This record gives sequence, C-alpha cells and structure tokens, in this order.
Amino acid sequence: MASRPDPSDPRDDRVRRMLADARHDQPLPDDVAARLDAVLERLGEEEPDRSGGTVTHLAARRRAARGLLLAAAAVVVVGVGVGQLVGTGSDSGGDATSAAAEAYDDSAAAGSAESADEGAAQDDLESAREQSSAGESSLDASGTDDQVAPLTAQSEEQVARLAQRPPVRLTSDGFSRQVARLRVRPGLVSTDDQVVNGSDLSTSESFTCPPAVWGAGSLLAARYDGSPTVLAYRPPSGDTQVVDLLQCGSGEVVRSVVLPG
Amino acid sequence: MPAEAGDPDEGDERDDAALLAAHVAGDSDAFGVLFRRHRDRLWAVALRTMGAPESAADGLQDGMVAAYRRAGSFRGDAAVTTWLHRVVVNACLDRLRAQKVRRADPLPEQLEEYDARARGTGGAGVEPLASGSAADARDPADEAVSAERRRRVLAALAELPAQQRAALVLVDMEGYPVAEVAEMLDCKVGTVKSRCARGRARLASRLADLVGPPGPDREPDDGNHVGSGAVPEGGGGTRGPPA
Repeated sequence: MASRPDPSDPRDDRVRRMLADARHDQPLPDDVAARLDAVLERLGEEEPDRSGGTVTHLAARRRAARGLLLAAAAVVVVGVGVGQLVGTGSDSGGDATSAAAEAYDDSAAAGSAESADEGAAQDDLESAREQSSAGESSLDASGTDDQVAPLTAQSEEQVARLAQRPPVRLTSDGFSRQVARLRVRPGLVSTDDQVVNGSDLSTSESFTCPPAVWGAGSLLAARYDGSPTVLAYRPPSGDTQVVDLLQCGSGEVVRSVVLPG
Repeated sequence: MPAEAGDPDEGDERDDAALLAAHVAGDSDAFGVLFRRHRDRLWAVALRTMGAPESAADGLQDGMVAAYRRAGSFRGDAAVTTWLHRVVVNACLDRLRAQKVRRADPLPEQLEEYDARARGTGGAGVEPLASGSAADARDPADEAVSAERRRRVLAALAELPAQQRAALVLVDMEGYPVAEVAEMLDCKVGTVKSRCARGRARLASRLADLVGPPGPDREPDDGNHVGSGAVPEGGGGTRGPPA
C-alpha cells in the first residue's frame, strides 16, 4: 500500500501554484465553437422531450414499420425468455435456465456492484411481461400501421422507462456468467442498420456513449471494467444466442459469448 | 452562483436555473444561451482533463449533448454550473476510459501545438499562453522558460490516473472549492482531497527539479512567479482563476 502524502510538505503548495499557472485561460476555439453550435442546432431539430428519459431516436423508429415488426418479434423472444425463467422457478434442467440459475446463484461473482440494479429488477420483469403481451397482440394483428400503432406508443414509454436504469456492470473475469444472468433484462430493440445513440440507453449522467450502428438485437447500456459499452443480445439462432459487447462510438465488438438458446 | 447574466453577447439576463427550466419547457434557444455562457470554462476543464484538443472537443460535445437531453433530470440540489461540469467531466472520463482500451495517451506536444496555433491565429479574445495581464510585457527568455515549465507540468499531469487528474484540474487549476468538486465528481470530499494529495505528490516527484526539495517554501529555480490561483481546500473557499 502506498504511503499517504504528507499534507505539510511544502512541495504541495509549489505544485498547486504550478498547476494554477498551467491553467488554460483561452476561450473556446472558433472551430470547436462552430462544431458545438452545429450540434446544438441539430439537437434543436429533434423531437423536443427533455424530461430526462428522452430516447430521441425513437422518432425515426416510429416511421419504420418494418423495424417495428422486427422489434415486436424480438420483444416476444425476450418475453418468452422471461416466461421460462418465471415459469420454471428453481427448475434447472434446461441448458438456458441452468445458465441463468447458475448466474443468479453466483452472487459473489456478480458482486455488490450489481446491487444498484436490484431495485429495478422487478420493474424490468414487469416491463418485460408488458412487452411480451404487447408483442403477442401485435403479431396476432399481423401487421398494418394502425395495428402496430398501440405497440409503438407503449414501446416508447417502456423504453424511456428502461433508459432510467443505470448501466449494468460487467467484469472481464465474470463476463459469461453476468451476460447469462442479464439475459432476462429487456433492452432497447435495435435493427440491423439503425443508428442508436448509446447515451440514450441510460439516462445516468455518468454514462456517455456516442452513436453507432449496433446491429440487430436487444441493447443494454453496460460498463465493462468501468468503460462504457453496449451489450447486444442478438436474435437467437437455433439453439444458441450470440451476445456481443460493443465499443461505444464505433460499435466494434470488444467481446462475444454464445449462450445456449 | 453568479451567472454571467447580462452578457452583451447574449442579451439574455435570465439566470442559469431559469434558462435550464426554459429549455426543459421547450424554449429552443435557452440551452444554447446557457451553454455558451459557460463553455469557455468547460472547455478549459475538458482540455486539461483530456490532454489532446481533439479529444477534449469530443468530450465537451458528448457532455453538451448529454446535458441537453438530460436537463429534465436536473433536480436543482446543486448549481447549474456544478451540474454542467459534472456532466462534462463524466463525459471526458468516459472517453478516457475508452481511449485506454484503444490507444495510448495523447502526447502533450499536441496540446502545445494547438495552443500555439490558437495564439498564432489569435482571434478576438485569444490571449497568449502566459497567464496574467503582465504577460505581454514579459521578457521573451522568461516567457520561453515559463512555456517550457508549463509544458512539463502538463506532460506530468497527463501521466496521472484520470480521476486524480480531473480532481487537480478542478481544484488547483480551475479553483473550485473541494466541496463543489466532490459534487461534480460524485464522490466524497475526502476522496477529492485524497486524489489531489496523491496527484500532487506524484507531480512533485516527477517535477522534482522544478519543485525543489522538501523543506522551507521557496520559489522555483527560475524565479518566475507562478499564479496565485491555488485555493484552500476548505469547502467554502472562493474561486481561484476567474472565468
């Protein structure tokens, strides 16, 4: 353990003066100012909702009926996953449930860092049930704009609520277990070519994540060993489901894991 | 918190809280007025925290966008400027973490180059690097020594852990009270003090020839005056360097 600095060390004051002298006292450069003004202008053209739970890119989603249908399908998948978990309870016979149960049992590995999310867990489950229900009715109605409209409104509200959660915390040593455990959490549903602002996945002030194309799947704001990232649960394929951890801003895959379907 | 109300460039005398509330209520101009009011100081914080101007611009932009969109989450239990600093600093720290994964830290020379460019192009309000109103009257040799010392200080600062650097930038460079910095960094006052103390100790070690040996206080070797912006670490100290 490092020794504590001596507060009476006169060098301390000298360093402070040197730092004060190195203060940057020039105004914002013109090129940066122009860039920020342009960004502000674009922000002003977006849908004005600054309640703190804003997910502005949903406006574009609303215009994409095809995207909505994919979203509904993915929501059903999440709902089914939740249904399995709730329905089976302690049943750990299946591979998927086994992985989830193992993850839940591994509270030590998950660590206290996850405890901040616990309060939202019940809300998430309820939200997932609502989404599942909405998705089923939407699919039953099979697809006109009028028929999917209720899902749109409901989804926006739910996603805005989901964005109120802090980012999930992941660690390099417990990544697979944590990812399996978090599979039951509903996230923002994204399509293949959709640009989503990562910062919109969580309104937490400490989570900043530039926009990128994250690909199809259910997106969660995540901190991976402290770094902001996006966790993407890809649509299940056969008996497996790929989960990618993506770099903020670039969308590059940082890490990937395959879960049993 | 004294807002720069009445800024002739803006012509808007609403205080910060009123501007933020107006933005949340749908006033399309309010946030721009608010941000422009504080962006020079936010830029200074972002630049010294990030090191490289390009990264600082990215961090400042991230913070601005986050503040714009999350204005509704501001609960008024801190000054608007404190909240803005918190959002911007967090955005910068997030970028630093991401950079740590992808590439090495920026070279301090980049910063010097950028400063020099700003000095050369010199638009309105762009002042020489040297601080203080007497800078223009300085001997060129003194100025060169001062610039070299500043370059070394910034280089050493860039090598500190990001959290220590952010604390030192806000407390020692920008002169914010420790209590306010604790709000900005969302940590305890003691944590800010600890980060500052450890950061200064590292800097003292790396800049030993400039700082001098432990012992009675004295000026650095070159005898040049250094700023008086250091602020007492008590929570209620006044700001150091003015905006």
